[in-house]
Amino acid sequence: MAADRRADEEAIDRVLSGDRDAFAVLVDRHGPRVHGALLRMLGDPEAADDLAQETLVKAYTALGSFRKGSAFYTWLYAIALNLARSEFRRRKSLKGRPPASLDTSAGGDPDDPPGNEPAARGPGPEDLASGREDAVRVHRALAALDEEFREAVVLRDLEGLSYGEIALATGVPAGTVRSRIHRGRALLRERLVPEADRAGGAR
Amino acid sequence: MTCAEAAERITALVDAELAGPERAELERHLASCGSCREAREAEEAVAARLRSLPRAPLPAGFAASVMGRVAAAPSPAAAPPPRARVIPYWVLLVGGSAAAAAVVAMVMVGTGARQGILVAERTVRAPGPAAAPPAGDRAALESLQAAGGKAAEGPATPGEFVAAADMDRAAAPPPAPKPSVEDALREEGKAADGKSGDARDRVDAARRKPAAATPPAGPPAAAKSPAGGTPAPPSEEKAEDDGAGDLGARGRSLPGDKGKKDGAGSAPAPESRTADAAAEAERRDAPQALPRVLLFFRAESLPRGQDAVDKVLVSRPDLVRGRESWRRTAADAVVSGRLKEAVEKEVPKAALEAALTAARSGIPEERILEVRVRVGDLEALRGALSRAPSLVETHALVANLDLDEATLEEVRKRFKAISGRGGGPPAPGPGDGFGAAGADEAGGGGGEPAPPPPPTPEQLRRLAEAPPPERPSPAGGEGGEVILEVHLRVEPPPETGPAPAKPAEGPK
Repeated sequence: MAADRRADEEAIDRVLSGDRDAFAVLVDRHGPRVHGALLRMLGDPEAADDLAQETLVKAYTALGSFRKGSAFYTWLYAIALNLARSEFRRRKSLKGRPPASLDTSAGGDPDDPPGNEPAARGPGPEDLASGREDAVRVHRALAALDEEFREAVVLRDLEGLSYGEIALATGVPAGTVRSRIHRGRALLRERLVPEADRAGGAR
Repeated sequence: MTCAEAAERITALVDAELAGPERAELERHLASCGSCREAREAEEAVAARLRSLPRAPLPAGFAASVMGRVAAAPSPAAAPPPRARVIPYWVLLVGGSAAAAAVVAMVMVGTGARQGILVAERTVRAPGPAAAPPAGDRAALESLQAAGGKAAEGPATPGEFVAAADMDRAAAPPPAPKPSVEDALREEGKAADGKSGDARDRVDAARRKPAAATPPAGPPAAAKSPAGGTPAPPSEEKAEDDGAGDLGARGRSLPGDKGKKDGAGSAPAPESRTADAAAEAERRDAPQALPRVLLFFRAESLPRGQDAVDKVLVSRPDLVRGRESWRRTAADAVVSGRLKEAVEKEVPKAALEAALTAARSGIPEERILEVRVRVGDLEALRGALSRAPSLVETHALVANLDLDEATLEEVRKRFKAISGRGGGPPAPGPGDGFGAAGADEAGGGGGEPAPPPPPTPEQLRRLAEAPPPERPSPAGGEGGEVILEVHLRVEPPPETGPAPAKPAEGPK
């Protein structure tokens, strides 16, 4: 862990001293995380790809403001989450309703006419989940969560961040992180347990 | 431990985020509670399912694409040292309590990852009993108002600009188009970084001075002791500094400032038209030989500023943490009890009113969600706020931010009521300068808010010319400075309005 951080900081130092290419180290090391988290947040591979790039470019231009001593990836998550939130807001204001989420691309949701969803342009949860049925189900349940709960759960269970790191990345107190994770998981459980009732895939 | 108490702790236990006695207590509970054990198992199962989700591979060419964009991006090395601060919007007013009262207002929009961004700065000199250059002041106040409006509307391009527009310039022959934030930005945009630092330094200095005169950290409990010479708990200041990023960090680097300020009792150099923040700082400090009050008004979010603020917050996790500390205002609660007494004698009502009014000018009432008031150097403050009891009320409310979410919600509701968001359109009426806070008193139960309209130039002028305080000199203390901060939290613009230009976020 300490070695990882050292590697990050080394790369950061090099970038700051003018070695642009050194940033590639950081992209390689953290790109997958950022991309993965955004994919889970947005449920839209195309947008996730976009925003993950955006996150890293922003991180690059703002690298001078990164403070060593904190984990670089936490910082990246914070940037990524913020972009994701903006994206959600944007979609919301565009459509006047909540943004598409993973489960909408499963088809059959009357609220989401095909062709109108980002997910319709790209792979759906089946792809994300590599076709595994359980994974699809979990993804759908995850996508149905409110953003704040999804953020917390994604960062905790999918990205493996500690509460403290999640607090930094999301900008809420650790206590709030805990209750969001608690609530998020409880909601997931509710959605996942009565699976028989959800056979139709509809709400 | 009840099952309800156990619930969230089980989550923490599952995540290995529970330790010590809390954990031991929970373990004991689990040993005797079947349903909680089940809950734990269920939660572990859910977590395990989530963890087992495969991670999607990065799209092909991802890294190359990022590096391509990086190649075209501005170099981070060119960035100023990390001085980021969350100051989306400040209006700082300085009121002297003796002969020459001066009101200095500053509007800042802090955005960007690295800079606290000064969007506009206005210096308003409120005529004191002795010196009364009202014409300029009036214009200046008007201009301030205009600037406030502009600031509220202006583009807050994150991370790019720093600009200072001098009030004196505006106060001269009122420029045809008043110097707008945009203008200021255009004029000063580029060379702004340094200025930004200077401006911050000035703020730092302004805030530090009183702090410096304060004996070092007393325990918050000290503030509880009745009146007397107990200084405000510096911890409070500290917390705010954390919240505001580096706000205070460099104050100490301006040792000369204080001397300058103390030494010069003369009038400000009004001919100074520079937008240079350093010069401005000197000028501001120079005439302030007298006890004075600094009022900081901060709107945490502005139309269009919201995104920018978010950016700062997320791009600077340390600030995010600091932001939490803003809520750690237990000391505020203690302070607030003494506020009345403490402030009354120190702060000329006119200055306070002018400050409040000016700070709120140009900010659409319906967007003000919160008014936060903080007091810095209590020692020197002694007295003044009782002239504005409504501030005390507001302050106390703010202190409640420390409490749980429910309380917080209530506070928000009340602040909305204060600002008139709770009920119809702002009722036109004679703004008394304390409209926001005043309505708070009236609207204790979420009652009918009576938000004043943005102050008219006439009101501003009247306020500026209001009688000076009866007490010409502070109760004592060396510096005789006090700091009041009024934080306005402003709501982002409604989505229905003309969509605020999205802050430049690069291609997308």
